Amino acid sequence: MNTAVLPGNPLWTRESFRSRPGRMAGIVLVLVLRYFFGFFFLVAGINKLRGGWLWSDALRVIFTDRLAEVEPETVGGWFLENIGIPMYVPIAWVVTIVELVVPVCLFLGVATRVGGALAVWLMVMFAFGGYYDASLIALWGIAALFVIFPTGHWLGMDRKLHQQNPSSPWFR
Amino acid sequence: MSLEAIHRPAARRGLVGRVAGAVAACLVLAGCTQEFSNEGLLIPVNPLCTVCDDFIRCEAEPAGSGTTLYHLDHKSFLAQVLTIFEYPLRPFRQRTEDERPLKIYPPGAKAAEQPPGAVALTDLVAHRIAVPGGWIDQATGAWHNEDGSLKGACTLLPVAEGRQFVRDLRTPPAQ
Repeated sequence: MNTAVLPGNPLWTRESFRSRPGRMAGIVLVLVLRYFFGFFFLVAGINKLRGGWLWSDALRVIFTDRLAEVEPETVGGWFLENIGIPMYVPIAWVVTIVELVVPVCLFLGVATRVGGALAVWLMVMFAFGGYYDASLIALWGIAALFVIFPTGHWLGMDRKLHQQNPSSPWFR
Repeated sequence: MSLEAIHRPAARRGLVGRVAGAVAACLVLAGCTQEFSNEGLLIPVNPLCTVCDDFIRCEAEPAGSGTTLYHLDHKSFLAQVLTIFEYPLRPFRQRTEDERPLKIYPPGAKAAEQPPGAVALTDLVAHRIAVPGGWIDQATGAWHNEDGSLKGACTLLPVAEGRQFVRDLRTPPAQ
């Protein structure tokens, strides 16, 4: 009898759910978080496009407004004044592109660990840039799950691509 | 060829199709999201900012009868974390209110008063900020009592000026 829940992946069998329900519940939870996180980044990326970040000085205006809000002697104040505002164009491109690449990785389960690492890196940069708040702690924790666990092997293209390219670090 | 092998491409196409459909739906929904607008407001307060300080100085009428400073403080740790869920829900559910912890510096005070549960509740539709005992019209800066009668006028201080205002209150005058 074929018990596969999802064809082609031995993880998704009724037997897996029956024999190790706790593990499978954890896997499903992490996968739900992966799609939620991907949606979160997708909305953020689309908002950057809609806000004209790539072809206007929208980010310079945002940084300038933020500089007026943060304490000048903080790391965020220094970053905004010396790096953020002078280099707003490349920063706008990097932020927008990463926010659009990460959801592709997470939705399709391709280079998932790389996508998770990119998300962690971007959010660390946000904190340095004067945009730290407690939500970043939770988001770092969620994104770290996609770096630690092989979620693209559980559901996504990484499993197949890793079989085809076992030495490639992209699909581990 | 096994039955499973025949069905596998169709299943995969179905999965890819569902993911593509979900992404397309997200794109459409995100494209429809309404942005908050503070345009034209005399007292703009960003409802998306969780770690902002906003200082509103209100002068009671008649002039010279006292200045009250309202400090709209950072949101609580939990409120900051919960914005994670609020952000992707924006395409589906538009917020109409925003709540911030509030510190009040009444006339002559040397320290902030923070009555239990004191909050500044911003009505994002009517552009009003409810504070204990009244409300502030964000469009005109008018300061009203709870019954709607005029109490005075308010202005939004630049953040640096607001922080300095608070420091000056706390600093004892030089002898």
